[in-house]
Amino acid sequence: MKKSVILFVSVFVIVVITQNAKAQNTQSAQSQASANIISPMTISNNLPLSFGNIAAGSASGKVELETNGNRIATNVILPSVTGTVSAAKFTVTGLAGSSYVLTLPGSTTLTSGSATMTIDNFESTATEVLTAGTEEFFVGATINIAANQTVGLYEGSFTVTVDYE
Amino acid sequence: MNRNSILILLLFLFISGYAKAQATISAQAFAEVIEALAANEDEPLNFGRFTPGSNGGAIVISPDGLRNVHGTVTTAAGMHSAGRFMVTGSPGALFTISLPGEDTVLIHQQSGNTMHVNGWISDPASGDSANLSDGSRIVSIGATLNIGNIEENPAGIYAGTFILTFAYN
Repeated sequence: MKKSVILFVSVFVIVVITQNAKAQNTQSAQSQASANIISPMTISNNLPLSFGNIAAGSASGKVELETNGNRIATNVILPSVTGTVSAAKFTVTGLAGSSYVLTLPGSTTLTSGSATMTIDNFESTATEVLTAGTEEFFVGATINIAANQTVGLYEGSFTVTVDYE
Repeated sequence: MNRNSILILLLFLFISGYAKAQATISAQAFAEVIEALAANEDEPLNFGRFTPGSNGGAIVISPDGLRNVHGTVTTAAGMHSAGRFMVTGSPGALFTISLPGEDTVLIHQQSGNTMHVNGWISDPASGDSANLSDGSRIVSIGATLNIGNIEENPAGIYAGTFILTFAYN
């Protein structure tokens, strides 16, 4: 008898927080609560964001790296020897059929010695629905290049977050 | 008392479960800024000394510096050279050469008389992709100098300029 009381209390707490619903129907509330709690999301990074080779000019410019890996240059030159070019690729897993929210960074800084470049205007191909419990998506961004930007390999990192909607 | 502790425990479990629902990952980002393409003239294009003769003609200099004469032109001793340019940039990058699209006009300062240079040719050939294997590459330029007779082209120095364009592919 005492055990059944405890069970009731636990269901009640879960329902209030996750559903913001009244705890009158303990049966249906129990099934909803259990699904939400035990399905963690995971995300893995499959490809880095790689802008490749860029020849800077005497004016400042930028390179937009699209989510399909295409590059669009403004005021800089992209030589035919491209170096490694890739949009970043991620894989999300979680509860099949659920929606999620992807949060991209506003900007990040790449460094090469004391020289820096800023990446912004992140964009993604994510539909933010885990139809079959998983989604792969690509992330592109724009890199900003100063006039006569110092020659070198620039490195940095950025963080993406996914969460159930 | 027993109930309260269970309730707290459940809240704790719930909150930690919620935190796990969110996932965060850090990804790397890379870009490489390579050297801009630059070019210096190591040797000017120089047709050397010659005499036009009664009908004039032409002097052709090949990219490897060989001089051929046409018409009544006779060459004289002294320096002559193909144009030589040192192109520098990112090792392994490819570039193309654009030759002048028009004649270059050489002008005789004293008389204002002119000779035209055309028939531009380069090594590596224009339109081909040349490789900056170790970050530099010599480009040689040849051309044809069109010479009038001695009346049209009196003795003296004729000079002019031409523009070559080197660009990353």
